[in-house]
Amino acid sequence: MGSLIKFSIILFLGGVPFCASAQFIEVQSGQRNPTLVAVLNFEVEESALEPIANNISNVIRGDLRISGVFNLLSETGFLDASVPFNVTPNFSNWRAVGAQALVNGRISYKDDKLAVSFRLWDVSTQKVLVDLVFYTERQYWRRIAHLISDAIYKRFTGEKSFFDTRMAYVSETGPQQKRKKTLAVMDYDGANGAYLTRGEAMILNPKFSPNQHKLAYLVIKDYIPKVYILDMLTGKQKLLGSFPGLTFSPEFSPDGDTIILSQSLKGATSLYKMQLSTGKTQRLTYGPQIDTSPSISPDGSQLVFNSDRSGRKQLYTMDIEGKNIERISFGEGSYATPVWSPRGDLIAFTKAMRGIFYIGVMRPDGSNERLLASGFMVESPTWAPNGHAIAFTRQGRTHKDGSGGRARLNMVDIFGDYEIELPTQTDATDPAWSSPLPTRHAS
Amino acid sequence: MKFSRIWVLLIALAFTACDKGSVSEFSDSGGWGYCDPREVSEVSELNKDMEKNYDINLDGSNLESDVKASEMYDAEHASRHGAYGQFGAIGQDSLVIDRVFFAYNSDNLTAFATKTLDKQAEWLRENPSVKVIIKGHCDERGTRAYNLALGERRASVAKDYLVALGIEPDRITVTSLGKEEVLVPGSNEEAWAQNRTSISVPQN
Repeated sequence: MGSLIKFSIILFLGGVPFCASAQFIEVQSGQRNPTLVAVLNFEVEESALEPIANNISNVIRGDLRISGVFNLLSETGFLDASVPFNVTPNFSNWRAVGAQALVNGRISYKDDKLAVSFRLWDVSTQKVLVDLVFYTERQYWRRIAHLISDAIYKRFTGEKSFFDTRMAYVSETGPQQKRKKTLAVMDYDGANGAYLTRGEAMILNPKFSPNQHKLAYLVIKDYIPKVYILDMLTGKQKLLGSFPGLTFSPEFSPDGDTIILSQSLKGATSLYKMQLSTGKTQRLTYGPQIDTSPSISPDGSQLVFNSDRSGRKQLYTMDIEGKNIERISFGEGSYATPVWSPRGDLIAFTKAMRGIFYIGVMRPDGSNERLLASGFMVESPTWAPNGHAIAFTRQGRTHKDGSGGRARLNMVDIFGDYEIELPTQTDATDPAWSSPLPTRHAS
Repeated sequence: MKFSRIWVLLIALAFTACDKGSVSEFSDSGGWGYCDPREVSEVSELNKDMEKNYDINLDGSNLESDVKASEMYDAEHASRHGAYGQFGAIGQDSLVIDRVFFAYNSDNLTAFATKTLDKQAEWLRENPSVKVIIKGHCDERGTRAYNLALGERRASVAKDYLVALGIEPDRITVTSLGKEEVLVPGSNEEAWAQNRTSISVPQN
């Protein structure tokens, strides 16, 4: 048995699928000694499989292109249009066009399942670096392509990629004064999109639980914002706790059993912790100030959050019991929406300075602040699970007649070398990047 | 030019329907206004200052009686965009404005705001069975979570003022829409100022 894509089924429960194109618009690009790779169209055992083979090859190209680690060689430059799968490539022809790595593959049908074999060749050593076969139901061909890209990425960087991930976000439609905000999910590259809610109530700020089985988000119903949890396995939505005030900005702990959130009551906003299995709640911060936007460190021991206790919005860390509060932001401007990287080494944030908004990163002690993106309105950073990229909302100015205000999800790498707009059918805000999806490997 | 503006003001004053010789404000959408019990002379002085700083329409729309910028939007909004939610009327003449405005990132009540809330409290005393929900709003220039919190703070500040005037706390529910419900579209100062507000909505 090869890869199991059960989770994708769960995500489609009750969702209305829509089509999306996987076009990338590069806003700026940079080079970091990328590896030049040639991806050949996968060959097929029967001609009916050709469309899928071409699609898989294109998805792999798309992944590698935005990875920041590879440069793709254009097919028009190839000396050999194809390399039959069971044949050793003519490496001198590939060296001649500058290729350092070569990817080819073969697709066939086996017992009603798709069998996708692929090889990654090192052109200079003339050796096979990766040699894998994937089996799956035909409709999950995209995940196979992403897993192949991941294998290639991992071989060259030693790290897991973010290609086999999903992104939850808020899809916005309608005029500014009567905005419809619904929950949507898609593959990180814009494909396989689905709407999870119908838009009767406004949905905001989704967050995946670490094992992907739950989604926490904010619902504004009858004008009151409250945090809800959606169980992806049962499709049931439940109000979180029985807090008297407004609740928002939910965040899961790494073990998925605790949620940290903000509650606003009588003019003050504080952080609270709630254990899902027992329902027990604990208040973490006190005082008349606004404490919000909590984010937990990957080892679960610390929290970073946004507070105006000093008079202006700054970032603070504290331990998971609410003690040892320390301010970490000290630059010009105001800071908000801190998000701890899954690698633990950086904290991403939104910054406002002299009328311009920025997405930046800093070390957990506040040092080494770097700004990665800027604009009229950029906010809501979310980390790729490998800590190498950040997705965020980028929104333009709105005109008096209500037009404009275009909002899209963009992705930037942590060196600020490139920024890419993610394709969504509607305006999109509040991205939440999932962890890599679970797979099962044949032993 | 200046002479013709004052001329319009005097004509407007002649048609005031308020008691106590007070000034009436006009709106071009007709019907929504309030009575501000100020001396007429004081108003003309203030209006002269205002003419220096702001454009005034000659069609009879708002002639502001407060010069501070943050309070400017209160009256200007009241007159130009008269389609507020109806809060009700006190006596025969005085309609109650349903919202107060705030400076950027602030939750301070201006003098004008307290006057608006005074009127709301008066109306609530005359209608003791009516409950009210106060919704706090922010402009778009802030992050989602913080603006939800700031909206709640703005609504709470309005509630606290009403409670201090004797309205029972149980009658007032506080909530926040943060920056999620755009009241006036546009990425400009005028629109932003009108989105920084606490709106009181009577519940039946």
